[in-house]
Amino acid sequence: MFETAARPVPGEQPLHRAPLASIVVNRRWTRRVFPFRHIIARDVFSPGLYAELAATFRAVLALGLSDRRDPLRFSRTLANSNAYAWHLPPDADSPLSLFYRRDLHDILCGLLDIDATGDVAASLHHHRRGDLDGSVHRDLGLSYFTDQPRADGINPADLKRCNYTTGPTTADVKAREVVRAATMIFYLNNTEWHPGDGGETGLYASPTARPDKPAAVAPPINNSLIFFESTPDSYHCFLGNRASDRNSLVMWLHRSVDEVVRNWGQNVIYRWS
Amino acid sequence: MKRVCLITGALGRLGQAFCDAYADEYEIVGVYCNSTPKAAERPETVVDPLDLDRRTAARNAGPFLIKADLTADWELERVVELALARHDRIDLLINGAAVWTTGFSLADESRMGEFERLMSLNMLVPMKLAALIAKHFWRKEKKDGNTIWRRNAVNVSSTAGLQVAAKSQDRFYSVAKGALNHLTAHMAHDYAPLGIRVNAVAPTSFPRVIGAADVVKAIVGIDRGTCNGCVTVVDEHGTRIHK
Repeated sequence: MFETAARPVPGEQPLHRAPLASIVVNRRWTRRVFPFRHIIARDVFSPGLYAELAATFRAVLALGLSDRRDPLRFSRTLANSNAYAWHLPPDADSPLSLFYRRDLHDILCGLLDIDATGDVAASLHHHRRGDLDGSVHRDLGLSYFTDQPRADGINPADLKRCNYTTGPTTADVKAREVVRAATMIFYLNNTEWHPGDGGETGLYASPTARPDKPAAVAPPINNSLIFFESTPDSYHCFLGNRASDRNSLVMWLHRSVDEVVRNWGQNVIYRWS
Repeated sequence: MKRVCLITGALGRLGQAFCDAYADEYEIVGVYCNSTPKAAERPETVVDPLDLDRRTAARNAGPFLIKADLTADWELERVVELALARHDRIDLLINGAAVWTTGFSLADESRMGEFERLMSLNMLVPMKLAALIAKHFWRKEKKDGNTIWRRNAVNVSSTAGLQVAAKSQDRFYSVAKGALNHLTAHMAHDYAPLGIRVNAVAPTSFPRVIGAADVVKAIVGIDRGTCNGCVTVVDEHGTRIHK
């Protein structure tokens, strides 16, 4: 669909379909418990694969920005965020389809001991330079999925059939309700980051914390990621990017409504406004 | 299956000694507030994403630490929710968090705020925390489940609360610990219908007179035993039930 940095040689397996052991080059990921459990890792993928992911990002970004929903371009339609987002389609075959792989999904679940449904929503996010701090929030909103699983069983969100936050787009479509189980933010296609540049993901111990007083941060360093479980306490926030645009891929895993109710009760679940 | 222990004051001398000695025996959820974790691997561990034993590696990485100011009610709720979310149960509650002040007069009006905070953490928090666990888990457990699992709470008191000593420099502290001893007896009575035992351990000064390990050993002894409503004294003369 999009140009990438380097086309695979005919007959060779594309990097994004290679065994994870050959493309996940950093095997020392850090698990932290404060202010809530999260994983961070730098230099995650091999340089070749990272270059392909970043090139795919640039190719989408080159199509421009839209302030209305546009499936082909970055659009500003997100709840809790001022970012422009482009949703990765369920039939994606570009390097970004790496994030729809079953083995990656299962590894992420294992890291935080999460039982996820296999429903995945993934999108590219673009914050233009000068975006302000977001609001401190958690991700326990009801989400909706129709069933269009890929060959390995991962079921990506299909926004053409079903709005992620409000449900089916037409009456004849049936959708399931799930709740976000975990969030992964992979940073890519950013300029070199320095302290003071902003654009970090802030983590908070309290919903009343000031956005500019995070308990911990994940800076937008290329080829790094932060991954955390969605719980009643996983408060986080985008921090204003003063120095340059801030780009990322955001991936959400999901769990059943019943499990969330069992763990924390019905009241923690909300509907997106 | 390991017993799940929720311990407050997890990074104090007592909590650290417990975590060091019994991490293999208990799944520990540790609550801390002011102390700085002394070992980086406690709040931060390294994992290999491609070689992860899902059921063990994630959980055996040491105590699961939660930073919380327990004098805030919403933080108490958060601690119980997180502990139960992680392990589904709490078998042993060790109320180890405490503050200590000394050397000023009860006639000094300007120190009353400190007294209120000390009473809150040293006396009210153990009561509130146990009640929240009962609300969210112990009361919902199946019939006899709490008895079968030998679930119990241990309040960490002090010998300072065992006798009235008007000239003691530990005024506020001894008042709070004395109240905690009385509270323990009443909690034991009120939790008995749930199958939950409640006891206290009253150590003398540690590590000055006895070792933190002695206190930890006494706590584990209470957890393994059957006593209810008892105050176990630990001092230079040994470990015994206070008469």
